[in-house]
Amino acid sequence: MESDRSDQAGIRLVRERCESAGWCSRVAPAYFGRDAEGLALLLRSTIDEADESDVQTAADMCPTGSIELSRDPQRG
Amino acid sequence: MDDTALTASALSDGEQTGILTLERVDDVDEVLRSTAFRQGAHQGSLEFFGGTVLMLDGDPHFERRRIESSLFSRSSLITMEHRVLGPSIDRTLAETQRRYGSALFNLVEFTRTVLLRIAAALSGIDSPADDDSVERLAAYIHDMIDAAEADWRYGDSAALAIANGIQARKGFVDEFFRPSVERRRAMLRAPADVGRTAGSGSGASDLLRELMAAGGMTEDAMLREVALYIDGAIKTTSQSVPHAFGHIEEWCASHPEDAKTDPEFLRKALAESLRLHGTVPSLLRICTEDILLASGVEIRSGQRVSLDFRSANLDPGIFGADAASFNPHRVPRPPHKPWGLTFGTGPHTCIGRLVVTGIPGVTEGSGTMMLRRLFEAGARTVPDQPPVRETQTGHDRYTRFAIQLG
Repeated sequence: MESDRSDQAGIRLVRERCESAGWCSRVAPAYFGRDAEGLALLLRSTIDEADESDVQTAADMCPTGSIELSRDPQRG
Repeated sequence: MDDTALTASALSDGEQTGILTLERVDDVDEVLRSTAFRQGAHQGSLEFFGGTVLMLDGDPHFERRRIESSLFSRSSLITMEHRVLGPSIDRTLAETQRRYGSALFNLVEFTRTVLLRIAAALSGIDSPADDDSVERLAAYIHDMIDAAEADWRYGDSAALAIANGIQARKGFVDEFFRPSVERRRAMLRAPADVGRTAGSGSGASDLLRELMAAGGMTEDAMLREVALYIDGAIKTTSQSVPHAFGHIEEWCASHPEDAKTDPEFLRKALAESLRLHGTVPSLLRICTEDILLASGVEIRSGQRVSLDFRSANLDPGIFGADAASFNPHRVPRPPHKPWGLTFGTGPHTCIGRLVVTGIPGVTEGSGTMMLRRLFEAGARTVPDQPPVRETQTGHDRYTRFAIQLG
């Protein structure tokens, strides 16, 4: 499985680490979904300011470290 | 109704229709990831873990994990590794060298001492400065951990362990837990904490503080959560490090191309050792709706299912024909992980897994760091002092693993 990554950084999802805890899609459904096998999907990688707290919580709740956040949207 | 009562009433409603045992890794994995099951294990230790994040399901489980998640943020893990784990290993190594020199010491006790400091920091139990108090804290925790393993103890040892654990918990509460609660109560009343919300991801908190900031839990409920965290922080790694040490030493003796102090090699070796020597032999789940697994196994609502982790982690279809052997360079069939199902998968994936395994490129992990520092200090076993296995529980671990420093 390849990582999901956009040129507009904010969120990077390392899918090969995902173990289907399912918290990300529950906490930040605009940013994370799940495929048919329950693995996380990255729906959008740039983070709106109003959603920063929820996306941070999604990253914190991931027990496998699959969600990486970049605070500088200019960095790849 | 507090969370403890919720857990107890849910268990009593389950039908007892015998136990179906699953051994294939794909079946166990599918059950762990499924929302069609609820927790059924740890019934012998409900006195200690009832109502904790380990035992909850559904929305209460989600809410508890959400509150506690900031403790395992990337910044928290980095902070813990630099400010707690590293110094704790250094201090314990220095104490060990002073006390034993080149004489033998017990690696099991060494790891428990290192991890006691991490457990205290993570859970919010303020550690005492004097050695006598530290010894009392360690003794209380030892008995509480023994009691929490009641489900896997043989014969009469379970009842005795629970009795000792309850007694130890009283001392722990009076001497360490309650004072730690009071200090945090004062901290949360201080002006700097006005408006602070739980789970802020500040990277400088602890479990007690997060639970108290979130509110809504009794002191007894917080005590159980703290006890769970201490158990989790100490037991897994103190069990796995001695196993890994022995495997690594034996492997490197015949594979000189692999360096015992190379963190990336140690990360793989620890993972392989965790696969072979998982923390618990099995766990119970209770099916809540009829389900057909991908393998064709049918499970009816109410069925108790035993997940045989030991067998699943040796599944030759995933880990190869030599699955029972140690091979740190093993690559399991994707998407399975090198440590197998030792940390679980799905919603109940071990919340502290990253503390142990680390995040590649970010943190080293408690097990890997301990092994590296020990090997850097010249640690080795001696042939006439073989390890002594634990015999009172079904756990795969040692009570004594003698090593000496260089």
